[in-house]
Amino acid sequence: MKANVSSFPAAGDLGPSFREHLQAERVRRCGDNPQYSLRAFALDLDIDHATLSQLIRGRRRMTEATIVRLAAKLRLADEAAAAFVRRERLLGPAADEDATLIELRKLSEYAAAAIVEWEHYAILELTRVRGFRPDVGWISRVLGISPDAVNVAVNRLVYLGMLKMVDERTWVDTSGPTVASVGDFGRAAVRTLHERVDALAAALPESARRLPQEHSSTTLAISTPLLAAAIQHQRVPARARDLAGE
Amino acid sequence: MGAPVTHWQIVTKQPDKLVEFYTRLFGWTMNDKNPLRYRTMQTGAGRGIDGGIWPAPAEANGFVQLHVEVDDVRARVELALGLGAKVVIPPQRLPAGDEMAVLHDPDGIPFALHSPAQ
Repeated sequence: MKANVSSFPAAGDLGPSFREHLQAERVRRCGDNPQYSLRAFALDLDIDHATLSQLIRGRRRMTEATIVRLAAKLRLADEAAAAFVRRERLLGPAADEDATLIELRKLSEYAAAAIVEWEHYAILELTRVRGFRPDVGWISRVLGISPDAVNVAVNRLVYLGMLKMVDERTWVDTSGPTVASVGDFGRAAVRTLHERVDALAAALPESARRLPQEHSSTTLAISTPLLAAAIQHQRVPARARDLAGE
Repeated sequence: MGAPVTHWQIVTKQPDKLVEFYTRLFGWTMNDKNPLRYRTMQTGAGRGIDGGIWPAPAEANGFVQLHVEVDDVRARVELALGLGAKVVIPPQRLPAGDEMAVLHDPDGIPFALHSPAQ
């Protein structure tokens, strides 16, 4: 296997992740050929393009086996591949972070959809109506939406913990205190989201939990010619931390 | 004895399109005459397992999910959690009487636990 020296993480420095390496490699290939598509990249890597897209976007976990396989396709030296694998192992909690971030994103998307799309509230309301039937076809006819739309909404509500299918005849609105209006429903959805996000955040390792909470506001005077370099070399956040006494 | 995989499920944003695709490609038949209007897919092959097609929300990618039949869904969920799984859909009693839960395995791959109606 040919060595690709520029891909070696420097000794003592974890360097970029394999995901970042893939992103950089794709950019490099596009630089050589503006027509180079993600599908072409996936073909070269002998991987499904949807999977590659998820890997590059961080929506799919980068397993050690995946790193080894793709590193071989990229003709990285064994040492380089091993270094990327080592990095993933060292940052093992980061892999869990990825899964947690994915779950956070899913929660946010589901909660947003539940708030914006009226059928979620309507279905919960319907469960409280005498004569409610846990039958998607019936719900579909009553609300005038497709059975698929009912199922997608029901799935989101169950995922968010706002609806429970107790038995064959009973679906229960578990969105919390009585929801009497669309506004109440929106607040209930946000409350559910907060509770789930808190639970997920608590499950993250300490090092990861600190990062989202780092925020500060500092005004610094920087000469315009030096501004780009200051940002690029992380001098601004470093100076802010100095001033904050961290 | 191990728990059998008794059902597969394709989750897609284009359920009707995939029903047509698979029925035409493999000669499967679709039946959605059930309380969930779930598109069950029968292969008619006499071997292997049947499956189904479920609608995905707009924000989700398509995927395939295996359903494993167990005697006690709740007990198996607890076991799975201890092994590193995460619950996506906690145990639910479906309109037809069967019970189901959906989890993510330690690699984030979804799978379902299923117990038929008694």
